[in-house]
Amino acid sequence: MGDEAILARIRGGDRAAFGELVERHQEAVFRVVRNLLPRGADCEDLAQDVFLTAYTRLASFAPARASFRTWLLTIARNACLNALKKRRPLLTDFSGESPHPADPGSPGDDLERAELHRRLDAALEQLPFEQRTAFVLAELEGLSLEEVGRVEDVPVGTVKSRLGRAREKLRLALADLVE
Amino acid sequence: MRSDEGYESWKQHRARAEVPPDFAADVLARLPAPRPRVGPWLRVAACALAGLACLFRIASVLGLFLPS
Repeated sequence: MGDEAILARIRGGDRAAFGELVERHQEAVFRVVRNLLPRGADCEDLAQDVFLTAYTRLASFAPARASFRTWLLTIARNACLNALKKRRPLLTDFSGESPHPADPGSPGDDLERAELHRRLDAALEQLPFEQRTAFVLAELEGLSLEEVGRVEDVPVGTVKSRLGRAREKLRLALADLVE
Repeated sequence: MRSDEGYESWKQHRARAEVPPDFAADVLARLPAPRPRVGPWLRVAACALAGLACLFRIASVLGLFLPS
């Protein structure tokens, strides 16, 4: 059953059908929220708010303009931006436990991978919001450039430019690591 | 380890979505309560009652000025 059929049931008063819609899209929303907010932010609460906002604004969803997923990720992106505006500047603390559990491999590889991940995490957190959003939506969520443009409400050319700058900054974060 | 391999493994790590098991149920529990559906006949009856009350009140006020 597609999103449209589920949406029709919700419009008909079937509240439980909204749970099916949540289950279909919860991973995408979590992925975007987790990667747009700084580490330590309450992603679950914000992800719930995204779905509640979607529920109350279902009447404004226009399938001709975007897919439900794109519309939902637009709400998620805007919710993250609002949350970032409200919170005080956050100092990122990378001194604690590594968020990247070591994969099986030689100890040298593990250390190198952990260092590489730490640098990329730091570089991602330092990207301007619009570049970070473009990177997260295109590279991690797999949206097309057109879809990213719809979420950010900018032309495809702007998305390409933001994505290019984001990739370049991430690449620079690894510049002095050995090949 | 090559940096492009590390980059790909980092992307895979960032792309993981660790959704709590009861997430959908928690969202459903927070949905606003549905508004009770008021039939059109009920609205007409409420308007008629309000109109009658208004007329009665006007008549009561005007009655004060009428000679007894």
